Amino acid sequence: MAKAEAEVEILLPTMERGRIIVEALRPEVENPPADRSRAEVALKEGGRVILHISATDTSALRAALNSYLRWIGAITKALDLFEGLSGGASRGDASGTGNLNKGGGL
Amino acid sequence: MDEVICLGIESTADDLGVGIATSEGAILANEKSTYTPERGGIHPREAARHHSAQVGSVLDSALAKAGVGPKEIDVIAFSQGPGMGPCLRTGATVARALSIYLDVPLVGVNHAVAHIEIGRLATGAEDPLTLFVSGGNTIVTGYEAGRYRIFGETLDIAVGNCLDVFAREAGFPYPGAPEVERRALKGERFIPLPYVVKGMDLSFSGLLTSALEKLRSGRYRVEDLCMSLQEVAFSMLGEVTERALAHTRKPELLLTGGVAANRRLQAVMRAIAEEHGAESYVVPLEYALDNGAMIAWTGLLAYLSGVRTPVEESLIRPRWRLDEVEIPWLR
Repeated sequence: MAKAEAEVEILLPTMERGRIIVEALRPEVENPPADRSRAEVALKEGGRVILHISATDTSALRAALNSYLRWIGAITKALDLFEGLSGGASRGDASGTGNLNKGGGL
Repeated sequence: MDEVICLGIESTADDLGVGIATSEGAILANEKSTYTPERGGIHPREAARHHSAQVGSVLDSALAKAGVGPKEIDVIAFSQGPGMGPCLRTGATVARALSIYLDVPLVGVNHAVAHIEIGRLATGAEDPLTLFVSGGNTIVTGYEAGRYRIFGETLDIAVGNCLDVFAREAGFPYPGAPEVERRALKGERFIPLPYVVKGMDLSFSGLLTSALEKLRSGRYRVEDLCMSLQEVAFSMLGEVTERALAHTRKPELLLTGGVAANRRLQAVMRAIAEEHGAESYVVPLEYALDNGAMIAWTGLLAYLSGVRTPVEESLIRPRWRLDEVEIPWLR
């Protein structure tokens, strides 16, 4: 039985970002590396991701929390980069900075 | 068909690599960040922590180097196994997210297949007998009827691990295997060490134990031990590789993986190839160690053969054997 539990709520900029994180983590949630902890990841309204971890002891809880938070951190870094670079042409065409203002539909 | 571009993420052990390859066989980028332990060997959880922290900057340099924007990427590939669980999970998680975000297919790649395929691409070898030697793998393999068949392999530790651990115990800086090679050049006296070949398989753990005992005894020159360790280990590899080459009659011999950088091993393999009238190939250094380019290129080969790894089936496979993988692109 779970002796230690933690719930973390992460507010993401968009629902889409939350959906990607939940889907990317699902295979890990469904196949935990150790049987000392269990995780659930759910997407709520407003781009909130709820990470719930239950564990047999606090060491296992901390290990699982660290893993999931680092994965979410890694995904966030990757998606921030890709979103920053998207919206325009290829990187090879970009000239310096300040070329991001492509939104104006004239 | 239009050119297809694949971004590949390698994260089986201490290297986090991001490569970008095209269906024309061009490697547009091959960037990496390596976790270096303060002392001792690779701690999987610490290596995974490094990969999580560095993934943004390695992705960024790869895209910049390739001059490729996110929207030009057609496929995301990742090393699905074999390797260290926490490291594999980190690469897999990021690869899934990118595949979902870009709405492009995901392809899980076998790390050992990738070492062979990048060797074939970089050297031009077509159907080689391959010796794949690294810190985690020691495999003699060749393609036959849809798969890379394993003709011989280690029964315990990898040859690269044997050299690395010896180097660490000898006080050489990380990674120590290149230093073993340098010291071996100054070796003068051969010290007998256990030579263990069982059928077509190899064992390096007894060799390592014996070499370490002799090292700690203080009765031998470390240069002599380095030379003897290499000679015994590489002769064992030579015996099994030569037998496989004679049996399969492959026209080419390819040396790949991190230990392929060792010049003494290269010379042993060259001599064997010559003896059997085979062409000898060595993977270039930048593709010898673990790298993202090999994952991107192998992901492309698989993708173009119709292989897909749906996100829900993309769980890592830490013990995924080379000979379990279908190789449809060589049929």
